[in-house]
Amino acid sequence: MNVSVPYSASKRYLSGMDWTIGALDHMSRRATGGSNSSQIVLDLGGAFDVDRFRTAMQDFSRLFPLLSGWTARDWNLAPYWATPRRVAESVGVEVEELEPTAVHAALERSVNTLFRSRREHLVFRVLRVTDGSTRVAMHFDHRLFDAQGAEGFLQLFQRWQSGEDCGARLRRIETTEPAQLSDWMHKFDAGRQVVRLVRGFKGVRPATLPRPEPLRGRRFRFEVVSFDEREAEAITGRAYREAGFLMFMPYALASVVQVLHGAFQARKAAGTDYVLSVSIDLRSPDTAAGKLFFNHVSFLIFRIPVGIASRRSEVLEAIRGQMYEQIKNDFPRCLAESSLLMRIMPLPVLSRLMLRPLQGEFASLGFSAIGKGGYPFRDFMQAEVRNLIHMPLVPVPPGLGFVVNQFGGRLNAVLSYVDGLLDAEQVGKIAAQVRQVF
Amino acid sequence: MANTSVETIEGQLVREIATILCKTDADVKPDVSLPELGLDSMGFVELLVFVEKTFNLRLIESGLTREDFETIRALAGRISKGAGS
Repeated sequence: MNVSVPYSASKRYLSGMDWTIGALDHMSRRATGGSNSSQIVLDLGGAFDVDRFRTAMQDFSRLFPLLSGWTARDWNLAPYWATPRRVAESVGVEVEELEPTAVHAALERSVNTLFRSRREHLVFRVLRVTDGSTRVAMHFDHRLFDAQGAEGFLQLFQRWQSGEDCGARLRRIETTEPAQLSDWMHKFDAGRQVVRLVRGFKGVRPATLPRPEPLRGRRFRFEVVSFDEREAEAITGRAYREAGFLMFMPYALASVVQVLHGAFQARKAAGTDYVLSVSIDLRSPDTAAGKLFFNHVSFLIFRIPVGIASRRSEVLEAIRGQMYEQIKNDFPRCLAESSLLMRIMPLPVLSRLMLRPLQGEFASLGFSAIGKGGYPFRDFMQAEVRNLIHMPLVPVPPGLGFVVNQFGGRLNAVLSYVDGLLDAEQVGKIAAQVRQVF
Repeated sequence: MANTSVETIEGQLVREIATILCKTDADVKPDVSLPELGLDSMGFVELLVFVEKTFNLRLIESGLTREDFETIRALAGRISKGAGS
C-alpha cells in the first residue's frame, strides 16, 4: 500500500481542451455565478462506515497533491496546473441524514454548492437515507476531471481501500504533460479543418430556449430517468435495429432531439437549427486508467434543421451522416489539436470568442453519452451499488443538456437545466417522453 | 477486392481495431463481438471510415445489420462480398 506517485514536476501544462473547459467555467461563472462542475452519484443499497471512508479518502487523496492545484501561466505563456508539494487540505466528506423524499433536492444542492476556495476541486457528500439506503455524491471540478476520469478516480479509490496492490496502476497515471510549443504547422492545419466546419454553420441561428432573467444566482435543476436492465436491453436492441449496429449514441441523441423539440416549440424558441454540442472521450479503453486527471475529450457538433426535428428517421440520418463525415475528416482530433493555439488567450477573451460564430450562442443543448466501465464494481466500501448517475452543470449558454450513461445493465438519461429555463410541467412531459421514445 | 482474401481483410481489420482501442493485435480476436472488444459508436464509425478509405466501400449507407458487423470475421466476409451485395 505504501506507494509513491511519480510526480516529476510541479507543473502540468494544460492541453487546449483543458483551456477550453476553463473558458466554459469562466463563461458559467460570468452568467450564473456557478462553476463548470459535475457530480457522480452512487446509489447504494445499504450503509457503510463513513468514518472509515473519510480516513481512507484522506490517505488516498494525499497521493495526489494536484487535487489542491490551481491554474497559472508560465514564462513561455503556456498555461499550466500548479501542483503543490502536498494536498493543502483534506478532501471534504460531508454527511447528512434525510428522508427519501429529500434526496433529490439534497443532490441538487450538493452539485450547486460552490467550492470553498480556488484550491478545492473535489468534495464528497454522503446522504444517509432513513430507508437504509445511501447516496454518495462526488462533486468535482471539470477542470480537474472529466466524467470518465472521475469514474476512474472512484474505481482506483475502491481498489486501493479494499487492499488491492495498486502500485502499477498508480505509476501509470499521467500527471505531467509537455507544453506542446512546437509543430505549429500541424496545429494550423488542424485549425483550417475546424474553420472549414465552422464556415458550414454560416447563417445558422441556433434554436435556444428563452433564458430566464436575471441569470445571476440561478441554480441547476435535474430530472433523472432510469431504465432497468430489461428496459435497457430492449432500448439497445431498438437502437441497433433503427440506427444500425453499435449506433447507440446517434440513437440516443436523435431521441433527445425528438423529445426536446416539443419543449422548444411550446416556448416558441426562435432559430433555424438545433445545434448540438456532443462531448466525446478521446481515450481508448486501454489508456483510460492512465488518463485519470484533466480533460481527454473533444466535441462533435451537429446541426439539425428545426423543420425536420419531428421526423425521427431524418434526424437520425442527419446525425449519422454528420458523425461519419466529422470522424472521416478527423474533426474531434483537429479540434483538440488546434485548441492548443487558443491557450495564449486569457479565459475572458477565449470565452467571448467561442460565442462569436453563432451570434452569442454556443449550442442549443449539450449532450454526452458516457462510456461503460469507468466504475466497473457493484460495490463501494462494501455496500451494494444499485446505480451510478452523472449530474453535470451544463455551461451557460445554453445551460441545457442531457447525459446518458449505462451502469450494471441499467441505462440513465439525466436532464440538466438552469432553473427557470423549463417549468415543472415541461420537465414532467420531457421525462414521460424520454420513457416513450427511447 | 477480388484479389483480396478474407484472411487478408481480417488481418487489416484486426490491426485497425487494435489501433483504435490501443491494444496489441494479439488482443483482438476476429471471432469476438465488436462490443465485447470494447468498440462503441465512435470507434465503430472510425472503423467504417477505415473500410471506406482502404476498401472503397461506404458501409455507413448500408443497413449496418448486426449479422454483417457482429465480429471482425463477419465484417471481413461482408467486405469481400462488396458493397452492392
